[in-house]
Amino acid sequence: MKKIERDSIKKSLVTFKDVMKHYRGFAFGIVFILITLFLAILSFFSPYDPRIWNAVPKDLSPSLTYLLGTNTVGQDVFWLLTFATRNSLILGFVTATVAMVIGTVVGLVSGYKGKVTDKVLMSINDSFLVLPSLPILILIASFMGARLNMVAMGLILSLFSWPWSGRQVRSMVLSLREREFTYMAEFSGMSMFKIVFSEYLPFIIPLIFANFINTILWALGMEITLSIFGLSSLEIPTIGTMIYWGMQYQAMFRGIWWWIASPVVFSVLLFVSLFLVSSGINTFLDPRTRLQRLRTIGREHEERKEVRPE
Amino acid sequence: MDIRRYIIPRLIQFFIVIFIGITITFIVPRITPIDPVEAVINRIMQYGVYMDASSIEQMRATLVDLYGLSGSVIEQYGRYLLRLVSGDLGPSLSMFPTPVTEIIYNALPWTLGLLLTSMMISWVIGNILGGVSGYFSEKKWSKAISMVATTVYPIPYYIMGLIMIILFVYLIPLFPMSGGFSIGLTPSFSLGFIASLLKHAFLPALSLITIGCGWWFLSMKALSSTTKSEDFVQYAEASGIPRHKILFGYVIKNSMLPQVTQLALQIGGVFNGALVTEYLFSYPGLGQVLYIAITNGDFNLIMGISIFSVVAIALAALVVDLIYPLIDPRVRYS
Amino acid sequence: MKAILHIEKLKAYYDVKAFGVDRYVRAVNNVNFDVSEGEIFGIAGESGCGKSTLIKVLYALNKPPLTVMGGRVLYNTEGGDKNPLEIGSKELQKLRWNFVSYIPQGSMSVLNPTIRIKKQFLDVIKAHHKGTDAKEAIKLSEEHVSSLGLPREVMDSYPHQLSGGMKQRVTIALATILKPRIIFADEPTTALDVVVQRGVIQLLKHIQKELHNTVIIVTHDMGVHAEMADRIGIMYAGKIIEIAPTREIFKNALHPYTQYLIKSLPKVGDKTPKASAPGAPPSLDSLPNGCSFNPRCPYAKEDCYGSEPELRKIKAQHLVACCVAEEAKNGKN
Repeated sequence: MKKIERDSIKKSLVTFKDVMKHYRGFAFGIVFILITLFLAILSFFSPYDPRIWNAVPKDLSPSLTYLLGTNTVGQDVFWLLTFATRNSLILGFVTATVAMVIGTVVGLVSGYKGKVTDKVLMSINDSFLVLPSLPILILIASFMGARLNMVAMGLILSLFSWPWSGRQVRSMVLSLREREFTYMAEFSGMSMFKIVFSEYLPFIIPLIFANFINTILWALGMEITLSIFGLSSLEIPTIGTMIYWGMQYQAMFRGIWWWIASPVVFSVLLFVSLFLVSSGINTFLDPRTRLQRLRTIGREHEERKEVRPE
Repeated sequence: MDIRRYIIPRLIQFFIVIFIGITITFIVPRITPIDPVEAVINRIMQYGVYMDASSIEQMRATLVDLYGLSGSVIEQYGRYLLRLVSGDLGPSLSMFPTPVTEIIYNALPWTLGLLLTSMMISWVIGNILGGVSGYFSEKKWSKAISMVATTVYPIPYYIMGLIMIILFVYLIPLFPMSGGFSIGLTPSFSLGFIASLLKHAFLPALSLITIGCGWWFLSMKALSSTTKSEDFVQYAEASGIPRHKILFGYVIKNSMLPQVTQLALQIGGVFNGALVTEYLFSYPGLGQVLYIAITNGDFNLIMGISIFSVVAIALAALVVDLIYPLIDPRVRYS
Repeated sequence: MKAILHIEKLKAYYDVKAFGVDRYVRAVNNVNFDVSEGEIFGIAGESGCGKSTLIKVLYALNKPPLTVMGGRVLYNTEGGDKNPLEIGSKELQKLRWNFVSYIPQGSMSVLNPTIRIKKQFLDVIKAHHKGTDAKEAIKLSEEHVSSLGLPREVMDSYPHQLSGGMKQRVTIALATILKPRIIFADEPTTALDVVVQRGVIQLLKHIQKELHNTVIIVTHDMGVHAEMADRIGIMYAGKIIEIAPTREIFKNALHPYTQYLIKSLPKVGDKTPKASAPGAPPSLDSLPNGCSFNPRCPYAKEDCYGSEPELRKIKAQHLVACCVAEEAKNGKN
């Protein structure tokens, strides 16, 4: 690796650490997301198969043996939660990836080509933005016999989440298009494809990043909503199905609060963390403050070096 | 303002949205693994009704006809569109032969009331708080409210509803947990009935309003902070115009404009939230109806609600779009 | 005659804090001069020399991160000398628009897009004379606007319906409606085409003649100064380095930077190539030691790298901040 590249990587690591130090919210978010990932991986080591009922004694409150207690159908709530985490993450990831790809491509093409292509694509884009997602998703889910696995649900959800990034990417492309380097590239004979991918992508990536996380947020929320209506595959443990079964067995009335509280509290923390991380990324990548921060941090490090005694 | 140039593209977009929505509603039942006809027959048999082979065949034929499943796809689509234009959404299967439209109309006022009041209240409160907070973004109280809003806004509607129930039904029993009004009361304009109405609507509305406020607050705060540093605000301050006048007449007045456009985009999301919240609180609106339709496998009702929602929301968005020129002089006089 | 505006050792820096480290951009770096009543004083200099910041500070428009680090500004008002940077906001409010007003840079977007021009006038008048009847205030504004040669329809328009030049004239009308003694104008002609520029300059001169007040105009366009200013102050890297009557500056500039500035101005019929000062102005957060011009100055000596030169009187009415110029004067004697 060339020295210049090594230095620039070192410089960006420096700034990340400082960001963690100075933006508490972002730090909290990242930490919690790491915890979530850890839980998801933990699910592979679960001693219980989540589809089996009556694996453990029922309705026990949280204790050392059963960290989050057990529920009315005889499952360990903690291990159930690890599976729920894993599935939710898979779902979020699938939705976000597919939605990002579609939205970005649409936005790039629409913004660059302009005129009729733009009008048509944006018309479709906006239609999906306005369409009420829930009734249609319920329609699709109920006609699928409510037997959706995570990947299938992810694909269906992406149908409604791509327009957000479609619009955003398009505005970014529109403003980039007017810049001089585009004209240079065009005149030197670069194909549209190449211009868009090699020249614009560095500007688009930060947008995509923030949108990615927002889409995961939305997908998880939708999953909960659909499960609550009883529409997702009810043997698969997800945050939504945990709540569904809890409600079905009147867990709150009967005082088995840990069954409902665990997924609720966990999901609230997860949502807030995702939101904080995406806001943090937005602030971090904001070009107006970035250069200033880089310079001052550089000076900070230099001054620290000077203070150190010989 | 050139009225035609403003209205016509928006009208066209309106029809496109409806067209796409209706087409999706048409396509879905025909490409998914479930055969609605078989599903209905199975369900009827589940209820213990015995049918001999010929009755089943007759049933099948009626249902196929009902569902418009006879003929080629194009023919079906044509008949489908014709039916819709005449406002016929077919009969409900679980409450045969009540037409779907009747069921929707009965549930609609509840949903509409909940939706409109909560949107109105959260939009106004969220925007004003956000506007003031953005203008005074350095003050402690401003930062405190922001933190609260940041934690509230990402919470999904259902969970917020659950939290409301935990807080106000279990911990501090103040409000009823379900229904539109107390059992036994007859709808009238009496004070007693209205009080009961409000009591039952309070928690569902509160749950929608809280999240709504969080969202409007945050977006308005961001807008107001940027508007604060715009040239015309700086100039107003330089020319000595008092702060409260600048806050309302200059900062908030200008930041409101994008918020009105946002309203059109948000309607879909809040509608979703209302459906879920109604289900949670057994509030007799479309959400409750939808849930019943799902559990009963009433595909007609589900389809009917989908189509209705598409049209209603597209219409609402169009209305907001048409109102916009009335408040933004830059569009009105151009 | 006592100065109506007195500026003494004025220092104002932009304090850019990021991650706990302070960085100072020295936009106004020890400025001293006086402005007499009834004169048109021009402040000239390149972009980024700090002249807009200076005007903001003189009008007490400084907001964090712009901090006044030292010095004072005195307005010679009827109630005595007042320092706008120290008096409370209530007193400042009374002075603003009544005694001193401000025409901002970039008048393109200074008017509230959602209210009509007459409402903007009403807001301003009511801000300073609370009890005014709305109808009277609007009538007053209409008369004022007509007297400045603007069509009556302007009052009922929204800002986006007006052209750039018209908006500029509206802000001039707004600044003069309460007949202030001092008017600060920050780049009033920039971004306008030449014909409109001329109209604006004529308008300003007309107002000054009518009201017999003081105008301080900031612009990088020497042509505007030539047309309007009685005296010109040249600003470089946050400091005023030369002050003299307009003719003196153009014919007999003493500071090397001013000489370069004047030499680079195009003249009709003159086809010789123009030389500009080599290099570029220093960044205001990292100024060179000694005289800020020394990296580019062809006459730089040892003294120039040591201490910053003060503005000193070289001839009658002609002040320069340059060791070389002083020596030349002393040398002559």
